[in-house]
Amino acid sequence: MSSRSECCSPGQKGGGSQAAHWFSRHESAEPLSPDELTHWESWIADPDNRAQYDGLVSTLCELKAHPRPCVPTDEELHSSVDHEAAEFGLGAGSAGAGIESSWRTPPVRGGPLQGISLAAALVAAVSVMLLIRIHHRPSPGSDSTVSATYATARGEQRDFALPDASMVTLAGESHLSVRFTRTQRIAVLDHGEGRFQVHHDAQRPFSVMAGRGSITAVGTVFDVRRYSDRIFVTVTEGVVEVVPAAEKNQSDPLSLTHPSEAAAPVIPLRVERGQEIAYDLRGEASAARRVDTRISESWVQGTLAYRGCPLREVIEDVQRYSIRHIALDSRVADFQYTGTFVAGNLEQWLRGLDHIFPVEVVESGADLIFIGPKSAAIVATDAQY
Amino acid sequence: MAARSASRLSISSAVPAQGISHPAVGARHAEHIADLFNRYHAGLVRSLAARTRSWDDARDLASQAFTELLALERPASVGSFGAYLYGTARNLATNHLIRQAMRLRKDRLAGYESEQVSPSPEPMVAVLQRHALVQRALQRLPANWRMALILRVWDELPYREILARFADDGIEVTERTARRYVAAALEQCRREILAAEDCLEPEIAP
Repeated sequence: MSSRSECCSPGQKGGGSQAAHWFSRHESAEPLSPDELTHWESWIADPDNRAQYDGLVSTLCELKAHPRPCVPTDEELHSSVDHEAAEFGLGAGSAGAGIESSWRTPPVRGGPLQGISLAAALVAAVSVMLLIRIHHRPSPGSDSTVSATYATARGEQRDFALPDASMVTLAGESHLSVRFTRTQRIAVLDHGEGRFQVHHDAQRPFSVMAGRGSITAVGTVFDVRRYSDRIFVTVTEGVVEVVPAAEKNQSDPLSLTHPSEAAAPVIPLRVERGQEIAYDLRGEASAARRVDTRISESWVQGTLAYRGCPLREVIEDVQRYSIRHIALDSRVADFQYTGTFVAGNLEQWLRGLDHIFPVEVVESGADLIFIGPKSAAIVATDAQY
Repeated sequence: MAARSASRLSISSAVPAQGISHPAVGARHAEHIADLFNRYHAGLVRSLAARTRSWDDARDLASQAFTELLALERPASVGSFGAYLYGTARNLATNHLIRQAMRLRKDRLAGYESEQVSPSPEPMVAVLQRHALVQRALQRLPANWRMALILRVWDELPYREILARFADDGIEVTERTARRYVAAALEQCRREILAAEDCLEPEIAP
């Protein structure tokens, strides 16, 4: 500690890593020694140091008010740790290093070199992930069939790594089952919404079944959103093929016959990057139209965004994030909603709905919310669940 | 940056009124207390804020610590006012955090959701821009830093549980390393947010 003044060159006066050290020191419940107290008092007396430190605390206070992000996947985690250990010798065993030196060498720093080290970190992370992916791939000769189910609770959002190194992010109250064989990859979205980042494998197309339709990709990123009577497919990268209604195999979508083989005469609809298509349960599909994929994918970041979307579908989404049951009167279900809100702020959004539409939002007890026409007597049994 | 931080927080340096008029305190002693206040208050509030994660709570607790100092029968018996203040404040903060955690747990059991900002849709645009910016900053953190930050800030786990979570994923870290991750993550977030604020464009649809 006593070397604090020597360890900082004049250019580092107010250096952020000192602020991080002090922040961490105060975050711990352990008392400061008299020496530390003296150092702290003189350090914090400096206005630059003070600004740095206050910045950290203010950032902390602000972060707390934002929705909780998803924790990194195992792969991300390991690649970041491996990278850190390789690049800086700062792995778990570096306890012997002095506090000052370890504080002064975070893996990614600000300043002119930030771009380079960030790029290096990305390259390292990607290469580690590629290695893991190759290792995880079943060898071509093996006849292994992998089945698994993934589900999220209401209000929960999670990333899952699928057995083929594809990734899926499931929105709240969503359910996905997968069956991967040597020749095909089939995932059934029984409920909710998923964003699929498909690992490229030309030998094994990746199909998502939703409703009576299927969405097939080779290696791409797309989003499948299941409402009670419509399914939306939005493509962020690459191309997918959508078959709105597979005539057969309804009883067992996980059977090994590929849906497009089963419905032989059906010509799949091509949906390209930046396009969205919707199909209903009868297999009627809309034409692919251009959309802002930032809107349809915003939920991955905890934001729900809509442009001219029926309230009924918005509420279906909202329901997946709310612990309360939301009942929507059919008379207001077709209002077109355009707007954006944060999933963590649902209660406010719901209460603010009567500013946007001629509706009344009535809270009934702790776990029920009715949305009905303004000043109409709302009876629970009239509401459409 | 200094100006920006100054606008976000205003740490008042007013001496608690009830302290001055405390019957056990003479005028000269009150003067002495005012000196102590000027000397220690700013540092004390900041040290508390790292634990309370709220400037308001930190200010309240610091005031309480000063009040306790004023209420002492024989202040002269205190060896070091600084150590006394920091020690008292530390205990107050611990109790405060325990009470807060219990309240939060009860609220969760009862199904109340915490109140958040922006009641009407209009200010939402600003909130959303901010939200996107913060999320971007978080996503750009190294995964191990992000993990530690999430477990600490949102899940409010004690460090020993954070270490256990890392160990579950086959990563052995020491508590000091985990603390370093959290602080470094905050610091990088801060930098990214400031950089993004400086070149913020209204880009979020609709």
